[in-house]
Amino acid sequence: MVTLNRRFRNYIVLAIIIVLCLIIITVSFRESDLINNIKVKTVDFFKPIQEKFYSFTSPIIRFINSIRDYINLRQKYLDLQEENALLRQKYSEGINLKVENDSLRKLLGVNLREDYETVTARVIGYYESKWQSEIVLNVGKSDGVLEGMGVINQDGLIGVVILAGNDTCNVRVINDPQSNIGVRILSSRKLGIIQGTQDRKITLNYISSEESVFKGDVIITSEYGNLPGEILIGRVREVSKNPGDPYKIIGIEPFVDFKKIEYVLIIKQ
Amino acid sequence: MKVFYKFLHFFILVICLLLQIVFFEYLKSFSINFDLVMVVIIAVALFDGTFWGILFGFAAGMVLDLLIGDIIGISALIYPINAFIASKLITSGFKFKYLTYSFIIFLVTEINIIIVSLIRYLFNFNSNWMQMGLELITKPILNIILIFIIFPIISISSGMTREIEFGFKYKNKI
Repeated sequence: MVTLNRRFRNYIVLAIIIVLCLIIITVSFRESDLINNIKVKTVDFFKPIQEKFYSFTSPIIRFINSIRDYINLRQKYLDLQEENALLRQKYSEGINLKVENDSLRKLLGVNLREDYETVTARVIGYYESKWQSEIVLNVGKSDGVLEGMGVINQDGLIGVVILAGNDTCNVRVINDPQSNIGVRILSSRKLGIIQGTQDRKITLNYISSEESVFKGDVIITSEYGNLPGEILIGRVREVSKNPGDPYKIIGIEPFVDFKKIEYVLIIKQ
Repeated sequence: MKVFYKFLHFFILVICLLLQIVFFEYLKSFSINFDLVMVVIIAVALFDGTFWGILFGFAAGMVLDLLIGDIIGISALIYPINAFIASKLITSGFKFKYLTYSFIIFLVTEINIIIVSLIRYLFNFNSNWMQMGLELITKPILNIILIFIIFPIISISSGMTREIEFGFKYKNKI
């Protein structure tokens, strides 16, 4: 009798859990406030332990990165050489433009663009699968961080805060399949939207097949979205076209190496 | 003493959960896809019983979803089912041997990938079937490697003798 009860106990518990989980999945899919609050509380509760664990494993992560860097060293050297030649060429042109820009601003009485107010944060967790790509930071609402704020580092845009707890926040990286960000092509000023894919690549969409887009074109954030404009995102890696498709298929190579992010800045708006 | 072991296993599970979040999730970006939490839950289900496997699976899955999941409840649904399948397999005549563990982990990982992909597909997420195929090959192998680290820890702390584990206990019956 006892064995029978035990056998049934497992079935009953499993059935209850399955029903409960299906309800939770449905509620979470409708983005309920209750689920979000529980999520925020859990993230805050685990933050101190997570931070300690991260500092414990970060030397191993750095070691793995250094192996990867070593393997790619030769290619990186060649790329840098090429880029350096190009930058040298554009340097003098840039100085001339700056002088001209400054004098015109003075003449018109237009102020220089103000720097953004930022919060410095440290990465304390990564989460990457084919369906999502997120990082966890050690700052939250108590530091003034809110959902929708942009996250950058010295190389460019990393992502957008999607969940802010009191002391932590989750950031959706721009190669996440659910990420959509309004952008501009720097040279042609054309507007488009970058989206992540399941194989963690970034594509630029809604650029008409009639437009000229070249490999190496720089992509920046557009001023019409939630993020401040002109934040560097990446370069055009490849451009192709499907017959009959009104839009071009454009692959983007981000400036940020998402596997090596340790410290970031969150732009307060 | 048994209660102490349960607490110990829960403690091991929490540590593995944190390791999964801060380290193993990072490795996924190199296509190294370990599921440490799943291996621990299966070990708990095999050595502590189905009930504890289901409960621990639900708890760990829920925490994992709340910390890093985009749809809350997927891992909390999958892990208890994993624990149940593993216990059913071991009670259906398999012996406590590493070959059996490997088979169970292989099977459960495959089931996991298929269920998660189907749920995602049903909830209107795009599914990359080619990547799923690749995952079906690599993920079980990587999880089987974890058996050799996790299972000895759980089996020793649950008081299971090496005799049972290597199948010597049933030698006379054979």
